[in-house]
Amino acid sequence: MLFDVNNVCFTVRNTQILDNVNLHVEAGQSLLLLGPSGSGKTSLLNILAGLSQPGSGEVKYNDQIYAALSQSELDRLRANNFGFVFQKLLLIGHLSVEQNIGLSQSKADHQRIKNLVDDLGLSGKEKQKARDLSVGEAQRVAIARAVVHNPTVIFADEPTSALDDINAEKVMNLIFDQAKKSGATVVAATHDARIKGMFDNILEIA
Amino acid sequence: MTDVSLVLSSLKSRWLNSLLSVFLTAFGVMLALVVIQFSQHVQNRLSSDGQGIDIVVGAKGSPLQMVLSSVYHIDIPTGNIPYDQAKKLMKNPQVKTAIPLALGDNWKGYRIVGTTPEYMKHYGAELKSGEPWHKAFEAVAGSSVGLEIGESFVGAHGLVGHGHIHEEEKYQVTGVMKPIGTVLDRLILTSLDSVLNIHGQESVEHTEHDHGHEDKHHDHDNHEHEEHDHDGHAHEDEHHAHDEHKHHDHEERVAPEITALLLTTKSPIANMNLPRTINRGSTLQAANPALELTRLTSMLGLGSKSFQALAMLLIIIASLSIFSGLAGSLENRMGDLAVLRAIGYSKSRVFKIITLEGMIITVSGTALGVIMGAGGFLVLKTIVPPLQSSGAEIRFTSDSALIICSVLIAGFVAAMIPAIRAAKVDVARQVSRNT
Repeated sequence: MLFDVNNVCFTVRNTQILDNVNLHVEAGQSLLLLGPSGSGKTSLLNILAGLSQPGSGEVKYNDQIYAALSQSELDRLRANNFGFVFQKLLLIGHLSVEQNIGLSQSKADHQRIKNLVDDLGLSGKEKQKARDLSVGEAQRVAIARAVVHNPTVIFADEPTSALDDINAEKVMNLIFDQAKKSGATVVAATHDARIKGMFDNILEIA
Repeated sequence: MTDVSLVLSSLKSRWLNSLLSVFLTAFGVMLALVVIQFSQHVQNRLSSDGQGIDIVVGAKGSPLQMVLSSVYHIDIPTGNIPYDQAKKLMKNPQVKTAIPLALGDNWKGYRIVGTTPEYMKHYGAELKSGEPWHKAFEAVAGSSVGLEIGESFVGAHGLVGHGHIHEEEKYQVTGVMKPIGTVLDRLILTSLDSVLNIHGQESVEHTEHDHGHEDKHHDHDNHEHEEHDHDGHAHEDEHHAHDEHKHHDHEERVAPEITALLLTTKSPIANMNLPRTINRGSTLQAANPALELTRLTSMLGLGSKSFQALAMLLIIIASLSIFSGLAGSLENRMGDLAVLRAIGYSKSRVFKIITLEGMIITVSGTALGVIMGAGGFLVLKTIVPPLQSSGAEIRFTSDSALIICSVLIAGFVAAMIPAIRAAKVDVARQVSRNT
């Protein structure tokens, strides 16, 4: 079992966002957390990624209980196993494309970075500052950063929220292609029902 | 990507802010170091110039002024004292050595000091070339004065600047001293008679002979010198002309007066007792240079403390600049830092990254400040003649090390506060925010 979530509750400013959520994800099975804004899908994604602690309940990743891990163990777990594509991409503007991609690697694998840059159509942009990229280019760099260290899980928060149908499909294809190449499971949170068909498992949150 | 590359890139992206912090730190360090160099130089000079002088005797007035004028040659004298009284004091059984000083003239601002060869011996001064003075109007120049052997010059009345020129008598340089890092470097030494004669006073040799004959002749004010006084003298040939001159002017000349007497005593008790005796029982004033030096350094200390306070203030401002630079940019960088935390950077690693940014600014500023401080001191040495003539040198002391350590600690503390905040970034909130 990749993720095993039992009776998770989560409260934000005295409002219960998640109430006794139970969830089981097998390795290689993608998961879509689908729901409208404020439904708690991003909160659940953060809990699965170990970025937030649930108010109650238990979260396991490969039989490791998050609550039993120290902060540094949890940091290492994320560093070694997870990749992220954030809603706002959050590239570091003053770093170049290759530096942003290489952030996830403890030791820069230049060949791996070059392969990704070529694969994602960013050739010639390696030295360009992230702040100077177009939205599409930045999206591809964010995906590259998420997969460069061959993670087990790729978390994507609202990856298609501001995109039209064609670009939404392109981005999701890119994420799934890269996930496939690195053998990663994709876990995404979105309100965009257009991409429902791409996932193995869907958890709809009201 | 290494943390150092990340930090350098971050600093580069905020280069104006970073540069301002570096310069503020550098100015603080520079000012602090220059002030310390000055302070130490003054202290060293005061110690070396006052070495071994137990008591200064001069005319009544400010004892500090008397010590400053006679020992350090940086003030005007309180007045003159009759040579007769000085002579008696020189024979006091508690006195080990006595050096008479007669001031009154200068050459281009360098004081002409009438004295005895004991003065040079006291400071261990040696001649670089030439020989000591043997007769009146021969002179030995200090190493900073800039006179050469054989050169002639005339003295100007007063101790600074250009007063009335004594055109009637020319001095001849017979020797130049080696630099020794004391007040002698910037003095022109000559015999007592040179200074006395040029100011219309009887020569000391003359007086001594009078005393040698009989005490009854000692009252110069009465001008009772008889012809035989001179006839009986066994003057050297080279003195003869001057004696003739004195003889002609004898009626116009007055009893000799000197400016001060520098004494060393035979015992520490004498250091305490002799000044009291002198101050109580005569028209003379005695002062202990060590005590006056303490007063002087406390006065100077007030000034240097003000500078030190200013330097510390600049260092605090620099630290605050580092703090505000990091803390101010932190708000915009929280997203970046949250990304780092999300992808596995530990809290301590984020703390190190932000602290490293602050320390790079601090260390660069400190290094620049040290270079600017050394350069600034050299420039000041070039444009401030007293610094040059007093042999001011840059010395790295424990005080300098203390300043540098203080700056580094202040920089670390300034960087630490934003670093702690950065390490505690709410990752989930930052990566999920929509704005």
